[in-house]
Amino acid sequence: MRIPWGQSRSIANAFLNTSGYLVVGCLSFEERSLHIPISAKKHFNHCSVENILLRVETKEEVIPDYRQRAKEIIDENENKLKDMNVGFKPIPCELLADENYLFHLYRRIVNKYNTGTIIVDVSSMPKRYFCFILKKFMTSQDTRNIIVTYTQPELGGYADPQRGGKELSACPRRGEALPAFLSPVTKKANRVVISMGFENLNIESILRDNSSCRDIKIIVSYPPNGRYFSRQWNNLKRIVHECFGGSHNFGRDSIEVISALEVERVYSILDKWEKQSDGLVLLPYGPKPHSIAMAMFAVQNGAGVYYSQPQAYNPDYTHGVGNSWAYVVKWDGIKCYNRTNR
Amino acid sequence: MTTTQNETLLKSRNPFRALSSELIEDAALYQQLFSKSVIAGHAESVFQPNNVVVVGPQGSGKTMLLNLTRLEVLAEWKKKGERNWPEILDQVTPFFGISINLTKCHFHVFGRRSIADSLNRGENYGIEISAAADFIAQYLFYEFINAILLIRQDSSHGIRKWLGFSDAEVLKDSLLKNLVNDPVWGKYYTGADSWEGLLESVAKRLESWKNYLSFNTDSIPEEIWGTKVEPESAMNVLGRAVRKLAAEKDTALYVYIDQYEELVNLNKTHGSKLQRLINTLIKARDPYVFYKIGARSHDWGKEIRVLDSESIVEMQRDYILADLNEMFIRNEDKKGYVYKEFARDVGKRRLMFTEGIADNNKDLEAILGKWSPEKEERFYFRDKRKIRAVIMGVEKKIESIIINTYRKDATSFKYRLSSAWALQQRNQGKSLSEIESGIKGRNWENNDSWVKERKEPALIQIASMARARRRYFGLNRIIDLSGGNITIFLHICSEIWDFANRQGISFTDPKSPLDEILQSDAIWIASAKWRERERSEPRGYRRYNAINRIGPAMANYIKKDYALSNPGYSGFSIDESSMAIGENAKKAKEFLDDCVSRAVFEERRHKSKERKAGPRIKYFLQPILSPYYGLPIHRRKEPYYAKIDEVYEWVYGNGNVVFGKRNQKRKPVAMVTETIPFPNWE
Repeated sequence: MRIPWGQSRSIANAFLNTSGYLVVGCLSFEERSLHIPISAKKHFNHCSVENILLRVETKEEVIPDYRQRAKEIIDENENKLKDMNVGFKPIPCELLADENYLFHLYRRIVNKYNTGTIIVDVSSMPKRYFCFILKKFMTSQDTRNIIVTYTQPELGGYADPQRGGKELSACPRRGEALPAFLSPVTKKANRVVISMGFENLNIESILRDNSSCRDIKIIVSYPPNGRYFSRQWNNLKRIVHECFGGSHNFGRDSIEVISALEVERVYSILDKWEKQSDGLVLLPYGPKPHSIAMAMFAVQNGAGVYYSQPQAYNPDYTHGVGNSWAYVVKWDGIKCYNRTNR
Repeated sequence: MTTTQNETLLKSRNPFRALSSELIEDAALYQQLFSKSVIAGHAESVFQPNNVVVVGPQGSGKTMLLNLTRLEVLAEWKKKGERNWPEILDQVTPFFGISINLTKCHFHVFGRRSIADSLNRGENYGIEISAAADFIAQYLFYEFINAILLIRQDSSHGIRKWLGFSDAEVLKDSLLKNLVNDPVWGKYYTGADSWEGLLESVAKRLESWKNYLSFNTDSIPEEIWGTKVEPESAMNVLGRAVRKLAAEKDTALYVYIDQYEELVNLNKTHGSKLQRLINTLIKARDPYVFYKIGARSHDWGKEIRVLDSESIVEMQRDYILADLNEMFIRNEDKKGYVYKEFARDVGKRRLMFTEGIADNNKDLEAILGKWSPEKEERFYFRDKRKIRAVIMGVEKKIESIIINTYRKDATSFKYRLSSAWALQQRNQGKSLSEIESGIKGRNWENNDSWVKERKEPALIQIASMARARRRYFGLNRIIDLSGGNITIFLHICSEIWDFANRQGISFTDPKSPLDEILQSDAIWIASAKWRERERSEPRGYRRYNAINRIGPAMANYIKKDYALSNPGYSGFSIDESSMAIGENAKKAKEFLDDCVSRAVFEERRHKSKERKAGPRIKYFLQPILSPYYGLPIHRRKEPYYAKIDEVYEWVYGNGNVVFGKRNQKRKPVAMVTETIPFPNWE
């Protein structure tokens, strides 16, 4: 597995040159969701760029109900793009879209746009959307080139309940497999891999459903500041306490600490753990690059990817725009996990 | 991980925290920890040849009970020498039990990716359901084959004997041949010439379905589509095969279906139809096949139609309902209350297994001790001079009477109860001298019904007036706090274990019962955590917000009810018929049902105190929440009679929750001129 990656601008300069491409992103209440469309306009005016921005909202009445405020901020962001003359097509989408809906969305994109080269901006896109979109484009013969982009919030930019902020998200659904990422029916995996995040979001329901997986591996991200690290470890402690009676067989080899921006390293670790087991079940609760790696691995190996989808997202989830990163997951029709040389 | 490794791991950690699902995966562990006490009353029907639906709140023990119908579990039991073998299994007709978890096997996904679409048939729910029907039939066939392979093993002679299966029949080639060639499969499995080969073919078919639902393929192979089976027919074939194997017994095929209620939660468009498919199996009333379903309290009964018809599954006719609530929640007459023994047994087994305690006396009561109101009362007001603070709401003269009456025998209980009684008498217009002779003649240790009903609210008030946190300890108190829910019982015990561990105290090797304050602090944590868990449960935020409004309002009422006039106002009651009228009423009812299913509220039916009024339902917060909100655990006397619209406002409104009414008419207090001197007995 080899995956060229780096700062978005550098990767774009190296790979995109004069060719046209399609950006599939998410227009959200997060400021960072605007970064890629604006950058494309600013720096790649010479290319033919089309932007599709999914406007993912929920109709479900949930508590806490952030819908009104989220809508106001999304409207503001939409106007910002228009004021900057960034052309885009907003597509309203339902957060809890099922497989039929997602497939219909994919076909609509494929039928209407040139999807030879696509940029999937996962910065603000819910997992059930970007994992599905990635899988479909990765396995499509017509899509030769895929670059996945991820823009961080500014340093210290995540909401922190311990510091007076609200939690990042709430009202998680019961955990289940992400659309298009079902685990095998009859071959039972025996190892769960959790990419640790800040909140545990009903992860117990997934661990209960996969209780045949007695072996648990954890990926903790190496983040830019200690506060994020402690939030992850506190979350891990909570999970161990609630789900495993206060202790579990977590040896040194059960926990990997990997940079939050790494995709390739995560994929390699998953590959190694898979070979030592009867199959993996993946829980992407951590940083988006780790989730990208899990999605790639699952597409290649047929592993199940499970998540408990929150139904309420704090409009102050993040603030500001930090560094932006790009990962070339497919180029010239060669998928990153089939690539052995850079 | 092997069973031995798993056992080792379990022994090194909190014995009360093992997930019930872990126990289910490990048949040997299940055998060690299973408590036969759960098989009582209605629960026995689970093992009879009937379709049974077991209902109860989350964590009440449904899964633990139903798991005993699985052949894998019973086979392991027989292998290990039958220790703790439930006697009922020798009294019922034997059964060949297989199971399906509808979400684990992805059954709930059917309909979410359209199969009709791949056939260019537009929207056609019939096609989606026929696909789901084939899947469930094939999945149960797969489980059936696995079970056959299990009983064919040499080590399975014990279970074969129990089943009434002759060894010769089980090992015959014709068993495989007859199954494979049965027309129900449409010749799909005709080539299979071994059990392993057949298993692999079925597995491949199941994976084909999964691959389509998972977008790994874009169509269903024609050889699968053209040989779809109807599950009723398939199950009948399997049921007959089981009957044929049993030479002299009427061994039946049991199918345990788990996660039925999640179908509608996880599949908004087709979940209800998938449930109807399951209902159709029940309605078939196959004489050889019986279904056992576990569902949360109010999650069964919302969809009772069968497929393609308005015909419904009928209780008593098509299935029996076993309500664990009726067994485990203590009613006033205590009839059939088996929970106490069940909880003690579960706790003891956990300890015996992990701590190797062989001494039968070293059970939970020896470790946790026993609570009594008098023991608890001693924790408040260590300085007797301050207990005067509990004489609240009465005039000075009555206060003097009370103090004079008890002198050095004064306790906060006597003071609080006598002031409450005096207030009630005053409200009825009784004179000072009548009150004085009443107090002097009264023995508060008599435990008559008036006292019994008020001891707990009195303790809440005493603790509040002492500005102390209420104390909870003792096995009997923990059993009460768990409210008939075994998961909550284990939750409390596990918090006590953890708390003791953190203090460096061994849970099982104390010189005397564990310190009451330690227990109390741990129980507070358990209560707070039970409340907090709602925030991460599906739809939990609404419940969390509601209990945070209602709980304190109830507690406030109890604390301020100095006359202890309404000791039952730790809950509310609603006219049952009013819950069906109007949108708000239905919404409120739905919310309450959800809370009961999730073990946030308890509910009980009762007769109205008003003559000619219809039946009512009373609701109380789950007892485990009592410490956090400061509510009584025992339910006595009439709860507050609320209107359904009022409850709707509590849940969905924004205003303050005003609980109970304090506008009772009071008779004027007679002026008294005589003075009673203050004693000086210090």
